[in-house]
Amino acid sequence: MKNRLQGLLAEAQAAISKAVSLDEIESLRVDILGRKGNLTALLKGLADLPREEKPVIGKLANQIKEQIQKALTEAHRILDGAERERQIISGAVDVTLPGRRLPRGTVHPVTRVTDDVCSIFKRLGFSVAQGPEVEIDYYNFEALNIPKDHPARQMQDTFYVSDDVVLRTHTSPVQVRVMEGQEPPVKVIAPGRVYRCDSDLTHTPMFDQIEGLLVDKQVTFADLKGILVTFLHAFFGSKAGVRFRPSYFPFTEPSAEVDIECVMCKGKGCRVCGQTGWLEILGCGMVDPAVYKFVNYDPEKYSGFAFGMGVERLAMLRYGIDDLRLFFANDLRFLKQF
Amino acid sequence: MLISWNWISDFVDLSEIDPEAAAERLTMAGLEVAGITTLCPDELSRVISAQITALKPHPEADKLSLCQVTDGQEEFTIVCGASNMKAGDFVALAPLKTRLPNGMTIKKAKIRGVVSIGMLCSTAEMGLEDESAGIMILPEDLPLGKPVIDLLGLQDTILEFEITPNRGDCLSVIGVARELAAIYKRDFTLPEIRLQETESKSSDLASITVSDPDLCPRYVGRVVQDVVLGESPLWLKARLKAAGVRPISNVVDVSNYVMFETGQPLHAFDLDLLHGARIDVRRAGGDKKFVTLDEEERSIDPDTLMICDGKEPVAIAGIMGGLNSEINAATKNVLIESAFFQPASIRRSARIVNLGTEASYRFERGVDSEATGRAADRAAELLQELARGKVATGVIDISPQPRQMPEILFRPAKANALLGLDLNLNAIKDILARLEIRIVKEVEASLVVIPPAWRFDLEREVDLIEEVARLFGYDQVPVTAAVLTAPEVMDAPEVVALNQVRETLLTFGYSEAVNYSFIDPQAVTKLNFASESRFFNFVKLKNPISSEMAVMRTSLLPGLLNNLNDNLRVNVKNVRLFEVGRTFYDVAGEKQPSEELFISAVACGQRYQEHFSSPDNVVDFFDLKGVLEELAATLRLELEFVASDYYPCLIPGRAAMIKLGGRNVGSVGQLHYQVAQAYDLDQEVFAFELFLTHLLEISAGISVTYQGLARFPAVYRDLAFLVDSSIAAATLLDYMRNQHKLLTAVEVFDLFQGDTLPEGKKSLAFRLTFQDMNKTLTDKKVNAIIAKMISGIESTFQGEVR
Repeated sequence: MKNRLQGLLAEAQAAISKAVSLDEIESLRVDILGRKGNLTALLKGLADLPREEKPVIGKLANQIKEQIQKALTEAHRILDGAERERQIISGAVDVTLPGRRLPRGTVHPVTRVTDDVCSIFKRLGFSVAQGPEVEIDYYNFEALNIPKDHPARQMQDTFYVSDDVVLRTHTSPVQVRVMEGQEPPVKVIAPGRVYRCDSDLTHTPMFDQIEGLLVDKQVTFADLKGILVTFLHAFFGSKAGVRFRPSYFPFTEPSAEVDIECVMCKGKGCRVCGQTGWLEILGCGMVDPAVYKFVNYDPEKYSGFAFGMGVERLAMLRYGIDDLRLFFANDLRFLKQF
Repeated sequence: MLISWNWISDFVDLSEIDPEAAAERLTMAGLEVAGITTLCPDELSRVISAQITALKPHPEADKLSLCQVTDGQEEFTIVCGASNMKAGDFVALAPLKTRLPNGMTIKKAKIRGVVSIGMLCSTAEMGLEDESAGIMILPEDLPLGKPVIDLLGLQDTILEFEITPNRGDCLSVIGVARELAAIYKRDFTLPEIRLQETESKSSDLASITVSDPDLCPRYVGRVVQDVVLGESPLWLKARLKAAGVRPISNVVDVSNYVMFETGQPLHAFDLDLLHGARIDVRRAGGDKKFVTLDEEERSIDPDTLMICDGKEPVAIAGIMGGLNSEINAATKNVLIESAFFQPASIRRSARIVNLGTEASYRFERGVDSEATGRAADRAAELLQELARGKVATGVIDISPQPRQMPEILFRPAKANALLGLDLNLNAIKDILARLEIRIVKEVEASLVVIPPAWRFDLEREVDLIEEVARLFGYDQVPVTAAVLTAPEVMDAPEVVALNQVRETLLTFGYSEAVNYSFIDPQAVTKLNFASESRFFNFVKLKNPISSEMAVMRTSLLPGLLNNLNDNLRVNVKNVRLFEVGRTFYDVAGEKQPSEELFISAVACGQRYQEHFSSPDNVVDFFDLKGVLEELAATLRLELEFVASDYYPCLIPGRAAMIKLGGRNVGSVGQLHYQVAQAYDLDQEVFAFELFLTHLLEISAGISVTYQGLARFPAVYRDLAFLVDSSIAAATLLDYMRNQHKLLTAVEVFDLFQGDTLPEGKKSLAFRLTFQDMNKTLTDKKVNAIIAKMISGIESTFQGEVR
């Protein structure tokens, strides 16, 4: 019995050492240690042994079983490692191949710039207001101190729907609507689409503006400069020079055009700024008392300012876009860049 | 507006002021200088004064001469084709290599055997005049070898202004000169006018009446007799050229010259063509047509102000003269008109007649009613000097309603408060004085002032505050932070939700498009909408850019379909575009249309980005529906999809109407082949359109509440039924979802039809989730629910469990 056990161990060890796959190890385990395995069969003969031999042979048999198990485990560990190694080698990918991406769209540059401008003003305490695009003459002109036959109407080629209804030529009518609806303090920003009957290389019949309005007690022209300088520095991410020069809008007095130092040439003079070193960026001014009259605000009690800017122009400067018409062509080769 | 620098210096001392620096100062004072150019190109300075020392005929050519010319240093032999010169004449010599304004470069040339070095120029060749006969003969005794344009004072700097509509007073040399005087604190002076008046009196030679004084508060006439028509001198032509006007004849040029100088438009009538030698200023009344001097017949209306003679209208007041009284080659006696017309009246006329002129541009903005007489005198002076005119004595000055300048209360404290400044009274008075604003009274800390007659923009205190800021300098105003009472800061809920909607579309690969709001009405017809549907309630433009942009859009699809086509044409194959924008519907009885926000999308091509491991996979209905479902989830809304041909541009059977709470909110599906063809598309295109305004409103009212997580395991079961193909999945889902409260979710996970299944049948497989929030569910309980459901489906839908 002892010899047969020793023999079994030797055979098993030899077989295990020859095994080259995990499957072979598994079948060896079944063949030797399984319910119908060799060792199990051999141990069945244990019962027939003389009483005094039983503990000795039994102990030996357990030792041998443990040794075989150990050998199997060890062989399994080695073969398993090798197997994984093979799998790893065969499973290698070319990491330089392109990744799999879910398609993702892009937001229109006009929307992006509008959002950026609005969020800067929101941080400054402004809220967003809106108004109709097809507007009554009263809001688009009259209440903004632009009576019929006013020369300023010639500055804006107007689309008419009827004698009294126009496509709004600017976002300024939102000012009037907001003031009609509430008492000061007013602090709103109004982005929106506007229309002018003009179509050439540098004009599209539709474009986007952002209007701002602040009315409160003791608001000064110096405050207007403060807000707009803060905005321009935040939007262009630089401390570029800003200049205010007198201009004319019927609904503000004093009025100003605001120029920034050319973002392309840093004020040295280039094609984009027409060699002046300055870029006209927005129009603004202190709200004209005539406008307050239309909305029943007392100009002796309140003062405030309004400003307006063209979104496409801001986008063109920020992204270096040189053709206005691209904004409305919706060519994906263009849109995907933003 | 172009203004000559030399001309300005007639009125203000410009010494030691650089035009570039002045342009900057003017811009910063509100007179924007958009450009600076020189009248003559710099290259023209190479053309120098020279003298002909000897002249003889060309030995080989009858029409050519050989000129011996000296520039004071060297002698040249020049072959010349002109015949108006003689030995001793001073001429303009273009040396070799000079490039003339007409593009010609002077080269050494052998002409009929004689070498010519340089060229003697005509004024036309120098670009000084349009035409010229012969070469330019200079005044005698000029220094030799010096640039001709400098010797004759023809070089000039031209400032190009963009004058805002409120500053009509600056539409002239004098206006700009006044501003420069104010800015640089220098004196502004008007040169004295010297007239040698004759025995005849203007008022004997012509008579003037103003029948409609409300539209013509002042009318001045002056007669100049025996004018000799001819060309203007070079200096005057140069100044007109600097102003961008073509010289015509001395008489016409003078009236233009005075307009550019003073800002007062003049009109010169041929006095002999005026019936009865008389003028009446009146509304047109019955006259309907009038032929202006540009030979156009113009329609006028009864309220158009006309200048009439003893018989008929001879000019549209303030806009353009008539052909019937125009200065012509036979003109001898001239009546100069210098008037002040009511600005609003001229604006109206210009609109009615549909004609804008240099004159109307100035009248519309207001001219100085106190300077009309001087302008007429100035014209007379020039006609006397340049056209040998005999100036009749006196003017006929009809001033029925002199313009009253307003007295304005000006509070320096208010100015400081509005501007954020702290100017003292003297500083403010100094600015007012520089602008010739008169202080008529000073009461405590307030001033009462009267602005000068040329200013039409100074009517109120705030207008004067702007003047103070302007001359003080906007750049000198400090930059401060507003101290504010905090307003309520709240965006409309739609604004917030709209950003989420955009973000959802982006994650599905859709890029945002922006199309014009106007479309071709045909584009809606092409979408097959019924003509009585709201998509035809167009808001029409009265003055569209073109018929393709004639109405406001009622759907975003036309724009997007065109974009899709454009992209395919430039070889972008997988197109996914969306647009968020307003649509406009005419509402009967309402002035303004209803404006509704839509979101629409189009898609074609591959579902996934091209990748070596991805299968070809073309976009279909369920891609778009997926976007909409995700959109609904983002907005926390439940959209319903019902098979429908609500949008007739979509293929029946591959289109759904989208509903929210029983209301139509849009449509999704595959574009009908016919429609695709009408839009020039040869691909399968999918599209949706969603009425966003309503969705955003509903969504804004929904808030998120957390639902507790289940603490007991859920039970999942799969069930498949064989049903008629015609039964919609949603019908079965609705049925099952209402079976038991423990059945918390039912989803379709498989669809199978054809092949081994009987004709007209399909197999739908569902995953059922059962969940009891209070205890662990038993199989027995679940089985009972399922058994009931199966028998229900068998009896209700003749379904067969598989």
